[in-house]
Amino acid sequence: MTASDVNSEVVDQVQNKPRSPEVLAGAGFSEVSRLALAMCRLRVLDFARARKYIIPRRALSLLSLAGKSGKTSVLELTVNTTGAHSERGAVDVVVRSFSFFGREVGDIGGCRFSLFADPLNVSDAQRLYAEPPVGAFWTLVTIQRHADTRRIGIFGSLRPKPVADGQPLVLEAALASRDRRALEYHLAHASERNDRKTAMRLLSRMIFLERRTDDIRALRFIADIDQILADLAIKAHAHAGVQTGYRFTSLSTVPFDNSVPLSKWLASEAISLRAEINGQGPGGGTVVSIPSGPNRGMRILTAVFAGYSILPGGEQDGIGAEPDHIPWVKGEELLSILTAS
Amino acid sequence: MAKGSHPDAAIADSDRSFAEACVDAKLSLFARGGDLEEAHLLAYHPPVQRNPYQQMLYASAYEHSFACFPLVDHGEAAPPPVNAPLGVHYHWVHRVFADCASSREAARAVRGFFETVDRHQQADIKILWTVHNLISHSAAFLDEEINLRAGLGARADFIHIMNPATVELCGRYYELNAAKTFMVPHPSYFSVYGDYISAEQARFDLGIAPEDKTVLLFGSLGPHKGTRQFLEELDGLESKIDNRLRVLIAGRSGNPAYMEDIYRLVADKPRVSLIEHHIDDQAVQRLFRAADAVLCPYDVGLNSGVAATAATFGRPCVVPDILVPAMSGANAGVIGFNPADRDSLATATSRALEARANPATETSLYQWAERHRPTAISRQFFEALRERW
Repeated sequence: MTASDVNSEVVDQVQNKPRSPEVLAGAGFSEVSRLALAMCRLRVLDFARARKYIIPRRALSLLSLAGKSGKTSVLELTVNTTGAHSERGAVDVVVRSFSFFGREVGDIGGCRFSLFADPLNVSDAQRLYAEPPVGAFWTLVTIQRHADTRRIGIFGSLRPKPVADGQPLVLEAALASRDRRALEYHLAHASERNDRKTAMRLLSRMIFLERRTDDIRALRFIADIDQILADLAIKAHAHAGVQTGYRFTSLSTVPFDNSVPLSKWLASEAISLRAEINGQGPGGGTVVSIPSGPNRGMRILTAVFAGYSILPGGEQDGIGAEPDHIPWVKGEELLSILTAS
Repeated sequence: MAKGSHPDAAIADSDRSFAEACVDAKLSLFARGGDLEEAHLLAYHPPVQRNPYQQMLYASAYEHSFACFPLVDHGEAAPPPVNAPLGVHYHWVHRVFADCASSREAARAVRGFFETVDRHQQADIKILWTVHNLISHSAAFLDEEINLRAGLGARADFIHIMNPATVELCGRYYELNAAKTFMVPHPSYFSVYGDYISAEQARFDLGIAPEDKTVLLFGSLGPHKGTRQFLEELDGLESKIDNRLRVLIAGRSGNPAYMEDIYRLVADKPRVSLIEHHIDDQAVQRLFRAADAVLCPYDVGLNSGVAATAATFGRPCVVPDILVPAMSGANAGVIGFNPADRDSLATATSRALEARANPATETSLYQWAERHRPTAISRQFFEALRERW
């Protein structure tokens, strides 16, 4: 390699431009032969199962037997580019399911995955998970590259395999991976432990990879709880100077669930509470008492959020034993706010 | 926006749930200082992005303690998690058929639609329908669409019409209960589209000579717009009006077979310019300012955003007779023709060009557009709705 070759390669890498197709060939990728292409058109050749291939411009498909319905199967594909950086969405994979007679079952149009293509020195396989729907007999996997000019190579079988039992990736490895199943596994564990910090890290990674609306919504929901509890912990205080206050006996609407961020739910309830107290006439007070009853914990949080002091007293019995369940909030964490009120 | 981002996602929160949108609506109404007892939520379906109609209609919502928000999947509507009445406002309901390949599928889609509407009503959600068309322009399943419209009309609590003759005209296909209707006209596009290019500049930009009599056919291209028939009859029309016309046809292209006809028809007409793409809001002015008259040579119509746009730019417009009442007050600037009598199109075009030569026409159309500006029409709409709700 001459000095000018080295220089041009450096420029290519800096600009992430494609280099000559020979670069892929040099890394062990080869063009799909005409015969193989013809067999791919018949959807019977698992073309990249044993060899690294440069993906042709036209989509390639493989028809294979579907696994058991409801049982997760996986595709493991390594995708490479001649560019110097990973390329988002370089390859699309669509998994569709059909009955024995060829009628599409499950989601019409199938399940679409968007894959990264990595530089040649990265050889991590990307795992794509799919569950054959009820009635599925055939699975059709189609792969197509996006870029027109860039050379994209692929290695891996297009035949979905049952997911092997075994230890999932540890958390840090999952966070560095593109393995949605591993990320979801740790997210479920984080949920069980109401571990918001870990959940937010996992969701951030999932959003970075796929930008799914459900993930974005979940992260916003958890981050909102995190922020609002920190704020409430500062605001919460009990009031010992007066004997009576407005009796806040029930919520104005439905109890809090995971359809609305906590801050908005509290803001909405606080408006209703303030309107109720102000409706009692001038001097409605700045103190409320919270009798026992359904949603008592949420009533306390609402009162604190609305800026009222909580009247201490015997009626606070029951807070500690079993406070309201709030998704992603540990009992002791909620308790510390409630008992400070 | 609720579940499932719209393909043309607007600048709106597409990640929030329906419940969150309701809470946001309440919070925003409260922040405005309104009386929460008066608060109403209105979720509209289907939301459209390129057509500004919905944003125009809802422009004054907050003045009347209404918060309006898009509802992509109307099945998501449910009793809101706040103390405020909720309504679902239906617009172009024929989109129910978007994924239907057969009459059977269309009939099933209608049944599913009615089940959802019935469920809403059982949950005390009000149903409002704006009747934009008699039948959709692209009706592929006529019987099913008539059934859909009849059923929605029967179920709706309130029906918004923009043409005073709507009940009578719809009666050809399906019945509307007049007692449920309220009339609020189509808004003009006053302050909606960019409007700063002079007519001279616009004509210069488009290569139109000052003396050219120029007509514009505007809007997405499809059989319902009458463009094909107009082009077929153009030579005859020109001889009837004794004038050579410069023709601008602008709008998103329709289905390929139809477009082939259009390409064939314009191929030997050098004075016809075909601009076959969506016209950006800032570019609309160039076309309307350059035109002497705007033609809507439709076979049928109930309301027309194109006619309202023409009035906004002070240009006379030719419309089917049944559309004239919808433009009440525009006087000589809106000229009707009888679609069954093609000679009348030539007469109307001739009258429109004469009207353009009279400065009073432009003044009169500007006045109509000002009176029908979106904020004013929106106010009328919410006042009428509140009276009934």
